[in-house]
Amino acid sequence: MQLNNPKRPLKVYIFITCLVDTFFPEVGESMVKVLKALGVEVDFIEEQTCCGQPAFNSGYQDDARVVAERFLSIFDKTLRDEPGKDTYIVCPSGSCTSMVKVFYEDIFKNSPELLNKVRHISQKTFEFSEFLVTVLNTVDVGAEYSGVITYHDSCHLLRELGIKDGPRELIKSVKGVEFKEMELHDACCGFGGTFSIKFPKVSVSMLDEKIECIINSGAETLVSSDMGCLMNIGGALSRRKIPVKIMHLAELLAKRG
Amino acid sequence: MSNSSREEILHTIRKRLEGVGRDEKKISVDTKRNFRSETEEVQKLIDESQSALITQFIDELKNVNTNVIEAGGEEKAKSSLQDLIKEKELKSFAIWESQFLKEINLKQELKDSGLKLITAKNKNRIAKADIGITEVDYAIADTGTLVLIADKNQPRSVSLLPPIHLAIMRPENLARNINDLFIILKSKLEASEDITSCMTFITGPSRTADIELSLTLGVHGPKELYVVFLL
Amino acid sequence: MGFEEVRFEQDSEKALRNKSLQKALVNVTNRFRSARNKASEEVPDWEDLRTSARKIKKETIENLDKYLLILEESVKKAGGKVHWTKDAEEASRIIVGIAREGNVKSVVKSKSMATEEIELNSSFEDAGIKVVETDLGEYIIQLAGEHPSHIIAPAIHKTKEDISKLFSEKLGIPHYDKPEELTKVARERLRSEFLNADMGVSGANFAVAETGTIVVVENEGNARLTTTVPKIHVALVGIEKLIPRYEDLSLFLTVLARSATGQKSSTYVSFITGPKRSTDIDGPEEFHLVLLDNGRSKILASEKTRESLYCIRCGACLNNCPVYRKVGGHSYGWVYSGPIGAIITPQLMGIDKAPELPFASSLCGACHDVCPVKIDFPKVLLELRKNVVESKKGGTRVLERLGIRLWRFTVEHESIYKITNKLSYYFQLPWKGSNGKLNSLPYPFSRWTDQRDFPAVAKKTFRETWKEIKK
Repeated sequence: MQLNNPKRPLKVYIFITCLVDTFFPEVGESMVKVLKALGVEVDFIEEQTCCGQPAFNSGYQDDARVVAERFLSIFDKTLRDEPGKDTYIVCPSGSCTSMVKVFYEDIFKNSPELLNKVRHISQKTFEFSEFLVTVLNTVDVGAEYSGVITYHDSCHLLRELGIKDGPRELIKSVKGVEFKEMELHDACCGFGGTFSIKFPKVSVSMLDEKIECIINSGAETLVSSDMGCLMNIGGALSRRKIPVKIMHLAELLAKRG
Repeated sequence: MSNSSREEILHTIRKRLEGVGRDEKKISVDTKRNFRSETEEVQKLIDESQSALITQFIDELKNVNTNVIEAGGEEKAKSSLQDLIKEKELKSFAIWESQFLKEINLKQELKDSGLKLITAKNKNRIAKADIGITEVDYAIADTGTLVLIADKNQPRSVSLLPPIHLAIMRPENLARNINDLFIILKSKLEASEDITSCMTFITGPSRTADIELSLTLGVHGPKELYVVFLL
Repeated sequence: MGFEEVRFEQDSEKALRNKSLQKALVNVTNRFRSARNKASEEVPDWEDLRTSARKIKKETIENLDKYLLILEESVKKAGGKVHWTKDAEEASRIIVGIAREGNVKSVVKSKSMATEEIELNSSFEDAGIKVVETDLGEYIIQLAGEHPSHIIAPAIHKTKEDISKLFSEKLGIPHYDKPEELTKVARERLRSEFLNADMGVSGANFAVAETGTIVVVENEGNARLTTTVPKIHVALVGIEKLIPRYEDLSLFLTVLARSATGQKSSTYVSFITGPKRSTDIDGPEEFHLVLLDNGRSKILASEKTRESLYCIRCGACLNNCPVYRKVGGHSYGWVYSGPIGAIITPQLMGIDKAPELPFASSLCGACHDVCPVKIDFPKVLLELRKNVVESKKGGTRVLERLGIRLWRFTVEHESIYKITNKLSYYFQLPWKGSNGKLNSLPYPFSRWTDQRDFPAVAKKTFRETWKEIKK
């Protein structure tokens, strides 16, 4: 659990995401707990709401842009006011992190001033597992949990951010965990934001395939880094009364024997 | 009319590409590569690895359901061919009038042995030939591919219409991979103005998996492919 | 079989209920996917090849007019004729015209998506000219009167029992059980068609500007026959199929077969340059290259969607798409399906004819991972979604637009956001089930809760909890 001694103190600003804030606050709480235990100073900018992704993915790019600008201004301003510290923005979602790190560049490419803010912010923005593994150089956070776990690669995390091994290392380092890789672990679960509502039958058929793989893996708990995926999969598991638990990676890492 | 469509299409394309930064002088098909010297290098590498290439090529041929007859010499090749003719009860053949096949006098010998010669000039007749015999212009070792170039002595239908295609080849036909081949071809192209009307890559006999993905050989092209490799 | 409108939701639901289709889709996509993975892993610099292939396509597409002119010159030099056609109607008219001029009574065709795009067969039929599809998969769907359901294996949605029944009905033959027997029937029937046809129509996978060579890739041999036996050969080629130089073929052929079926090379590749030479013994006497625009030049305008034209029609995106493998090709409503269909159908046919397609994807990006020319499908889809939304201002998307307005208002003001959350916590109570989740919700969220529970708004949101834990 050794933290590499940074030259300057680390401070993390939580980018909570509207989904976690509203529906899954325990994920945010877990994230804070884990970070604090690792000696990281944690803060939360209360003005934040949403990064704009729901509108962006639905084709409402003008609306998305306005919301994104607000996000940018809030974080850019706050982080500029911290001269003595290494500041980071840490987010418990692959898709929201991608929005900032990948898609903001495109949205603001014709506005040099905003593009500056984007670049300032995006190089400090990390998805939670990525932050632990690549910035804190930590895979063992001292967590303990007894159980058979399988992991679902959420699409943006895997393909936009290229994050695949880090979460697995973190899971495997949890004392008491038996990790089982499932088949088609990188296949989309059918969420896709509004896709799940626009084409529900197609979405559920993709979900069926995912659930079959989860059950076949023999895992009792499904872990992932995106609550969008987990609420989709979890919603079907609970409706069908299938006794597999869903858990965000942050929640797993916050568990202590 | 087609001409005004031509102008319209070109005009639309140019208009739509207006925003793209285009360097007019850079548009050319010339890459400034020296294919002649590349061919020399490639040929050296091919020669150095020839025996490994032969092994690889024969393996790849088998992987794609090509029947391989390794013949140590002309006589062995011809007797293997006779065995095949007897085994399959072949009565007629079509053949290339290409240099090597002429050198070994194959056409005459087959006629002498009682096989009927069918010309490629008549498509209906050649479709009824039992076997089509060709050589190869090149072969690609890492995919088990034969390369056949059409010309006045090398009609296309000989390797296409009869149900059996038999190709005679020698080690010097081999290239390591498709990259090598195109370097060699390009260098030849640059040296002469002419390009063949039809070059064909053949990798195994004809096949399909269109019905429930089950592999079936011999759809429209030859059902069987033989390569007689003169080692 | 004409194109009307894409009805993705409707057709996909039908496809989901079709059990034998579901089985076939799992089979074909699994097979092709694992074969492609194996074949690409065997090539050590596979990723570099993809990068180079994309670079060449970019260069070509961004200078399309120049390379087309070079192509035209080269084809003419080799003794061929070049026809430029701006749309489907013109292309069909020109091709039928070539047939008429050549006194053509019957035509054989090898597989070409472009000819399906322009519905060439019905133009021939209208002109009283017999046309026969010779690719086995296409032959099957021609008999059945259907669209292809997969770019590489067009009849994959049919079981061998379907095909056996089809053959026996349409060809008046007994029922055959085995694929070998069915294939033999096709071989025998079509052999005489090849020998008697006056004209062969093919597509092309590539057209090389430098030499005027068109390249046709296949496994069956029907394309070789189509382009060798009849006295006239017509090749219909989309203008985007162009590549600049002869040696570029080495790269594209390396990635094409491996991406499509996992083969190191398909059985036959024909490199055709013009008609037969005067000294050739066989081969067509006339060669016509018909260049097809049909909306492709329109796609050039948008920098964000231009890469849709890089496609080399390998089908790898279909095999990797989690949506395609559930809904199959017919759900996409036209000749192109899967991710490539989702991006080019709206662009070629018009957004108004296929407004659902850009949304018929979860944006997972699995297609992007395997595309040999690295088309960034999610990026293109996002742009097309924007176009759909902009084109329907005030139209049928009233409810959605209202929703977005409300959402935006809420997230622009932190105080409204907080109040909304608080109110939702109380208002959701009637829908909350015993498991603590929302078991049903009003439309449109009923589309979620019909089959899944929805999470409940937390009593205390994170930002409320933060006030306590920050200490």
